[in-house]
Amino acid sequence: MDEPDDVVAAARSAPDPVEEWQSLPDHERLALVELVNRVLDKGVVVTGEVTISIGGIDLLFLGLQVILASVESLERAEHVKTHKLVPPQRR
Amino acid sequence: MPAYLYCVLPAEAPDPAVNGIDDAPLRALRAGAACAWVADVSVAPQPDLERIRAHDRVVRAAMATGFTPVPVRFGQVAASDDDVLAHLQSRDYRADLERVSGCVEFGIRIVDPEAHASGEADSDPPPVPDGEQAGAGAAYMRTLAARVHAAERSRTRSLDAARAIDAALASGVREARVESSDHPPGAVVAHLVQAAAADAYAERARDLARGHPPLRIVVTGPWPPYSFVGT
Repeated sequence: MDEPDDVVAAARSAPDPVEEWQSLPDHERLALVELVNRVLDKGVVVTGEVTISIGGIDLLFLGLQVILASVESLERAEHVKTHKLVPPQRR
Repeated sequence: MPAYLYCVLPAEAPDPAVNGIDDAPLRALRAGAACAWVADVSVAPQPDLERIRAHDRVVRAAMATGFTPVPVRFGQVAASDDDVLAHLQSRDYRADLERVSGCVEFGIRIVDPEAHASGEADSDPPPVPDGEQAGAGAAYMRTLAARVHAAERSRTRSLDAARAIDAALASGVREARVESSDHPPGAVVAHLVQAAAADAYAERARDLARGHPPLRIVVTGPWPPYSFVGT
C-alpha cells in the first residue's frame, strides 16, 4: 500500500454506532454506554489537553439517549454484567 | 513517533501481551515507579465503538496481570517515548497506583422513568398558545416552570436513592462518588471496591437496586478503576 497510514485509518469503515447499538440486547447496550462514558470521559489525562473529537461527543450523547431507551424496557433493578476482567469476547 | 497511552502500572508489572487499537502492537515504557503501556501511532485515533472496546480490552488485560492499572483516557497521545518518560517522572504515579491497588470499579446508574416520560418534550419548547386568549402567556410560562420542577424533582429523588444505596454498601467500598446526572435525569454512583469483595458487593448492590421503585437502577461492573484517577 502506498497510501499514508492516516489516510488508510480514515478510510477504514467503522460500523455505524447507531446500527450497532440497536442490534444489541438492552443489557449489552447499557454496558456499552457505561463503557463509552468511562473510556471517553474518565481516566487520567496525560497531555494536559482534553480533545474529545466531534465523533466522541456524538458517541457520548448517543449513549445517553440509549440509556433512556433501554432503561424503559428493562426490568427494574437489573444487574448488567460486564465482562469479567479479562479481554471481552464478542459473542 | 507519537505514542498512544493506555494505562499506567507499577514499574514491576509485566510487558503487555495483547494488541491495542487497530491491532497495534503494544510496549511498556518504564520510569521511576511507573510503567506505561503504549503503542506507536501516526495520528490520534478517532473514537468509534470498536476502538473504544480495544482501549478497554488493553486496560482489562492490564488488570489481569495482578497489578491494578491507572487507566488513561481515550485518545491521549504523547509526541514521543521521551515525552512519555518525562510524564511518568513529572507526575508521581505512586499515589494514583496506591489509590486503586487491588480494587475494581462498579457503577450504579439511577434513572427516573417519570422524567423519561416527559423527557422528549424537555428539549422542545411547549406549544405556543393562541396569543389572543387571555392569560396565554402565563400558561406558557407555567408549562415551562412545571417542566423545570419535574426535572428537579427527578434529580432530587434519584440523588436521595443514590445516597441511600451508597450508605448501605459501605462494606468493601474503598471510595465512592455520588453525582446527579442531567442527561438522563437521575444520578450515578461509582464505587471503588476491593477485588476480593466484588462478588459480595455485586449481589448486595443488585438487591438494594430493587428497593427504590419507580426508579430504574442498573448496576454495572466490575470495571477497571476509570472513575478513580486524577482529581
